Amino acid sequence: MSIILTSVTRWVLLVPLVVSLALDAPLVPKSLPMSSLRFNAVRRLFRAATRAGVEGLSNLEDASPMSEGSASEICDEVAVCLSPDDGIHGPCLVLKTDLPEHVCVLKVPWGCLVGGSSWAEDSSLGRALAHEGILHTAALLDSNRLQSSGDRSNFKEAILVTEGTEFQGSEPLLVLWLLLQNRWTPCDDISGENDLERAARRAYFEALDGPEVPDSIAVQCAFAWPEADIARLLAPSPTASRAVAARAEMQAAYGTLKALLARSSVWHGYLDTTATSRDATRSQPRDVTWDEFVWAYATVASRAVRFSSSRSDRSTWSGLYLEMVGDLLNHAPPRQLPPQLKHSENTRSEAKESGDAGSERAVPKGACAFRFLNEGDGCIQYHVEDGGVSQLQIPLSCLFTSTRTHFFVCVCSCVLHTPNSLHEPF
Amino acid sequence: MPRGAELLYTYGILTPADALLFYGFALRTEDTPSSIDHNHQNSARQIWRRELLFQLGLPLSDDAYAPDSDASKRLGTILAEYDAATEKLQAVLMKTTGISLSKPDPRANSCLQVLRAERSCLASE
Repeated sequence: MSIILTSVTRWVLLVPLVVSLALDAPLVPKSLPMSSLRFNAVRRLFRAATRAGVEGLSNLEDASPMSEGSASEICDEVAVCLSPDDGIHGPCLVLKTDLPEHVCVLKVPWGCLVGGSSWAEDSSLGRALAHEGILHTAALLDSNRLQSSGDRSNFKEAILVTEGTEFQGSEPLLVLWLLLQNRWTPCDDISGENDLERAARRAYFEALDGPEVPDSIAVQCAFAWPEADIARLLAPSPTASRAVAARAEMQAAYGTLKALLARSSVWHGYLDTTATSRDATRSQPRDVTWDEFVWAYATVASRAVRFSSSRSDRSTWSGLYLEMVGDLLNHAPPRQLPPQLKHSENTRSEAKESGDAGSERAVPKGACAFRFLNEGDGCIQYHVEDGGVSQLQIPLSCLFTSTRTHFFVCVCSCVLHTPNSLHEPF
Repeated sequence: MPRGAELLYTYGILTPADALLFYGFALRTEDTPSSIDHNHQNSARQIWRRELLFQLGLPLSDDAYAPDSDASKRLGTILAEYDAATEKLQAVLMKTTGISLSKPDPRANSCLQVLRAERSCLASE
């Protein structure tokens, strides 16, 4: 451990200088707008992360002491893997990668998770939207169950009523959160979040698809296609009829969402609470396009992880979450993946919920991210010495997790010990 | 894998073929890595086939259809429709990837995979 800290101290002094020099270099030609865009985002994040790393390390021993037995060095220069029993301050999500010989456990604080219902409860905008009619969106997605609830004005009840159905109540909320984040970042989006946490969310979006929303054809969700195209491309598969039915549902939900966002009372309610904020003068997303809606819905449907908790505070913990760190974890080569995916390096990770000490339980459905991270996405690579075949890529956005966690220490040690392994985007 | 194609494999409404993918069903024997248990694949294929038969309005049966039965004839008709649709998509792809200057429809290849997978599953016993 002392070796680690000594090395860390040395790099604390050297890395910021080296990094700032490196980042000021014009590495990206201006003729590449998309790459340049992503590069600039990652570059901005990396700078902030470096600052955060230095500040975090100054309080390292007080905030997150690492005992001799709690951490093991897999590779002398790179990775520090933590055991599942390592402590973390506050509830967290435990992600266990499926690297076969060395189990790497990354603990991610709940602050890096976004849940639809918690967002609606914690932010003034979310509350305003909930009160003004987000229920109607949920109702469209599951009208029968909601009608039987009796009280359509009770938001929490609506969430619970739709729980267990295909379209849970928190799903449309998460879709809405995604749409709003992509178009506009409200200043108090998440209660108590700081600039770095907000930047982390922005980085997640930019790592996913960038600020541009792909058109509904590129998304390849059949419900987004014109009906004639569905028939032409998918008949006689039963997928065609399902896609047509889904399209009707999605269009209804889209119409409701547009109507909701167009209500000025929603934004009045929000602006009243943020009148002095610099964000209050930004244009509000009073409208969303069909392509944006498709993108948001498909992203939530394919990337969100559902948690089911058996604890007494079930309504707080259960639901649908976007887990920004685990979603982007990546390693190569793929293991135990279906053969159709063998050509795409991918992610499989097992998620466990950790609230109270000793109460970890497996989440029934593991967290799987199906996206290949390229170096251009701004990844740190963890090389694990098991014949040189496995590596774990961690996106730079992970650097924005809490500074007072082992996970942060883990990432920091990687950055500080091996600056050469940090691939600048190009 | 092109952007957005990831959703093809995870979005249930789009394709029941994601069941095939997650269950580890292989389309061809040579695609089967040794790490995937053969019994597991077979079980997955049967589950998926029952779902397809149900969706297509064909009787659910674990036994092979008798050659002269109505169900067998209906299945044969459906398989022929799959063949025709597959050929049509293949022609579209050949045309757009050849000398033609028109851009290929990004959806065609994914749909072709879905149709091939479903046909293969339906034709199996």
